[in-house]
Amino acid sequence: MMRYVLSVVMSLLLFTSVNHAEGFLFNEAAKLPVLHEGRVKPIDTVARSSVLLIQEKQKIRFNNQEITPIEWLFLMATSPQIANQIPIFRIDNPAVKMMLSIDEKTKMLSFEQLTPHLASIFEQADRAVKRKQSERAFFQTGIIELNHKVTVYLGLQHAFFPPSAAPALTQYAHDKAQLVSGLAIFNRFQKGALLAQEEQDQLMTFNDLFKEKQLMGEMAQFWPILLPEGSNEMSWQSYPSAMLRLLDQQGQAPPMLQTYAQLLQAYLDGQGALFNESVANLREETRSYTPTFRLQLEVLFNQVQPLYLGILLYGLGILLLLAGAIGTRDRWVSWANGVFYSALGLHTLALLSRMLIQLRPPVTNLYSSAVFSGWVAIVLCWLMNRIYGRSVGTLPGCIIGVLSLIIAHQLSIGSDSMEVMRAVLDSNFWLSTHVITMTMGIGAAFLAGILGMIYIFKDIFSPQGVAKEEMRRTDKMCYGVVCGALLLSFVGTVLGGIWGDQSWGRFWGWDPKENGALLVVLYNAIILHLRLLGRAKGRSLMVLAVGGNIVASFCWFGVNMLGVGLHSYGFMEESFRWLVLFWVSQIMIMLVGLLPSGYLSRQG
Amino acid sequence: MITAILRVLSSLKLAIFSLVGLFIIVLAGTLLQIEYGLYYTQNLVFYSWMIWVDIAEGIRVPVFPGGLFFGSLLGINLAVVSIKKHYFSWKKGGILLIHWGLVVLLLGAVIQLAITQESMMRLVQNEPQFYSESQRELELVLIDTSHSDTDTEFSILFSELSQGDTVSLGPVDIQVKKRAIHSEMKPYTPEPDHARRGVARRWQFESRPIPKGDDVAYFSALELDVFQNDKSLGTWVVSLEVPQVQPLDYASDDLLIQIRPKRWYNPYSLTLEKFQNEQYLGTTVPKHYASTIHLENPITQENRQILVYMNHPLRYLGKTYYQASFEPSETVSILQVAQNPIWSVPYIASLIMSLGLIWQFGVGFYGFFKKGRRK
Repeated sequence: MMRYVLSVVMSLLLFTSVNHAEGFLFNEAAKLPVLHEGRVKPIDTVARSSVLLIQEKQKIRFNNQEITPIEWLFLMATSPQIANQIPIFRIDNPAVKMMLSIDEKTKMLSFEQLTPHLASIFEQADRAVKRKQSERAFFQTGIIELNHKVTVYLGLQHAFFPPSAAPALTQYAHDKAQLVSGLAIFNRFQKGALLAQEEQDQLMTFNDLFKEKQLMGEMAQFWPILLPEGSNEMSWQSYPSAMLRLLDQQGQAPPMLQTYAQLLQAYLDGQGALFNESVANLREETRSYTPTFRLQLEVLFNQVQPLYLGILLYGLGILLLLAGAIGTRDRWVSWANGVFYSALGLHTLALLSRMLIQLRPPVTNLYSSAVFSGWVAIVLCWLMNRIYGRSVGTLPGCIIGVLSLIIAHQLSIGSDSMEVMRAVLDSNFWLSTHVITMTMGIGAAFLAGILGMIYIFKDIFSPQGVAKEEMRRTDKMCYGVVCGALLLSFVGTVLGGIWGDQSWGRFWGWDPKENGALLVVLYNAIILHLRLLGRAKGRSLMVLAVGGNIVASFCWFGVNMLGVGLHSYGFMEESFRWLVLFWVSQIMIMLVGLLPSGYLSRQG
Repeated sequence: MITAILRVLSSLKLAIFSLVGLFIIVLAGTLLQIEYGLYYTQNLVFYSWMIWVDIAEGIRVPVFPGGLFFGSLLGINLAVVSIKKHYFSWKKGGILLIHWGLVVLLLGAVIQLAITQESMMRLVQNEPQFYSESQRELELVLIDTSHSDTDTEFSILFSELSQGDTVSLGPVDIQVKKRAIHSEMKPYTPEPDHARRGVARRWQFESRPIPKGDDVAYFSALELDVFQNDKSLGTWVVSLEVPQVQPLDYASDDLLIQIRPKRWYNPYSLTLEKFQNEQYLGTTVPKHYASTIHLENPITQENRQILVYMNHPLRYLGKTYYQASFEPSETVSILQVAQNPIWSVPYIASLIMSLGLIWQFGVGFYGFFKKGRRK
């Protein structure tokens, strides 16, 4: 079995990690470490998360050519005229479209097309951010989003030299000379020396250059320069700020400045060998800091996108099972099992590598909670397969896999999914106890719901309803999972209380997220006690379990969207619509669950 | 009769009833926070026996039982069930412990509600701080500065004053002429009235409806007639909108009057030596913030340095100090202070319940093994 899983995974790895650019080792350049949003990461992650933010998908197409995010980043730094023509800004908000005077159907705009509107975008966004989140108009949320995209775009373009600059090496030499000679004149001027007209002009240029570098240092999206003496996060600097170090180091610039200029120049000139050599030099110069293994793992993770593949595999599993339900059973089902297990293997590898890259427990934000709670539920499905010796867990496992990973994918748009932790969350102990148990509880609640859903559909659609033995088995499984969900969510909630007492001075504060967790506990406790009363068996248990989906999703996402409390991550309108849709669908399934066995098959 | 009542109180149906009730309460209380903020909702829904709603001016109707009602019902149910005989068996001991733990947790929560005091302490760098302030409660205070070494303060809670009351506050008597929870200051335009003193000479206040939400400031205000030895000293207006102290007698400055957040004084001082605020490089995401505090207690002769930061509070003489916030200048650190003598109760409850869980699982596994052997 294991060998099978490994072979599938390995072949996928090989298949996807082949790089198709000739001459340039972009794969190596991708591993260059930079500081971005507080974390040292491969430049590849910066490129990908930025493209995902601006374009809302990772693949860039331009003139019938596919450009990888890392190549795009180089294009942005060296040939802004070309980069600005790529239609990369995705705009969905109709009110924003109206403001930009583009028609309904156009979705993608290039920076060049946006340029005439920049002033009004900035102005409108400035006005919009001043209003409370909940009071913003639809247009304003859209304009803030667009403004953010533009800011990131400009920050990438200004990471090294301004877009109007000469080729990198020339510009670097020029800036360096200007700064050094300018400083000399400035020092003389300060001592009271009289300056010639030419020198005064030079001083003015120096002043402008100084201000430009300062401003760009603030704009720069990522900081690629590791100061030679440095070995921790504090010794990273943006390229323009590092240029200014020339001024207090007697003209001694960090050597990486020159090497990066060389790298950009080589890319512009199409000199593959020089490019590769510069990359190697840069890797060498950052060696003192960089945890190479973790950087490489992250780049590999980015390229393989194991969770994206996971969606496809889990989806394939569902298709195979459907085929199995129609055609010759056994073969399809055993294939489906194989696909399910390889997907689970991939899912597990992905979780482990994220933990290794971050050196954190598996759940650090909403994105990773989706990945992890899905994983927990799927592992439970795998256990069911082991215990019952059949493929009872494969269908629910695949459904949960597809849903949880799609949700995770949606959540990953807009930011690096391995972001740094805020002060209050920065505690591996609590992350790995409270957060993990709570997420596992949520995962279990969803599993019970999915089991209930499958059971209801089977029972309604098949002529005689579900067979007695299968009914008893599903009932037992579902009840067991509900008990597990109660146990985990209860322990998680109590642990959360203790954390709250440690950091805010109260065990319980009626914060929406706390309430959400309590709702999950209460709901499962209600089911458990109804069962003791002799209710909540068979179909009624299934209907209640589907209701558990609503409660669990409210606790998981809903409370974050209320826009109040300590755990709120901002109001996500788009996601909220999906959530409501999900609730409606669950209520409908519950209603369907009230119909007698075999009802629909008799009707049809 | 008693058995019948006991039977109802210990019934599973009652447990389910109160669980469902709590579910509804928690859900409603969460959603209402969007509109009304945490504090208001908390008192309306969670800490109440019955939820009352104004349907018209002055007419209140009960809508639904509150959190205290269902919580107590569940607590009673649990308590009665856990002393019932049939639970005292080896097999059900775990479940019994879990339920006892819940009883302790609920009971603790209710007691805690009654006795916990929460306040905030604002620490300015290098300035010793002796008191913390309430975020909600206000007090009317009279400060007697006639002794050279110590001031004497007389205070009464704003919530205990109502219009028309006469109360004595240290050396003076005070009659409340007007009281507003939220108000707005307006110029006092009628002919100059020599009885109106201090702020009242030029200002009066008008009541305003109480604002909803958590972040809004209330400007509570009082208009008072002050008497000393049955002799009128005049009329004063005190308001949070103009919070400074006002002397009752301009000649001596001995007696000062003020409305301010309720204060709790400590017999020791805390001094902020340094506030550290680290952010992740290149971002505005806080990474770590910490206050280095100097504690000085003349009674115990303590004189030491303490570091308070996220997830690491200071527990001292029954009070717990948490790093809560800071002001942008980074020379002011704000600590949350909780005085909660039974803070350990939730921990004890959790311990009991964990034991119960371990027990229950142990029994389960044991049974599973025995079954397996027999096969």
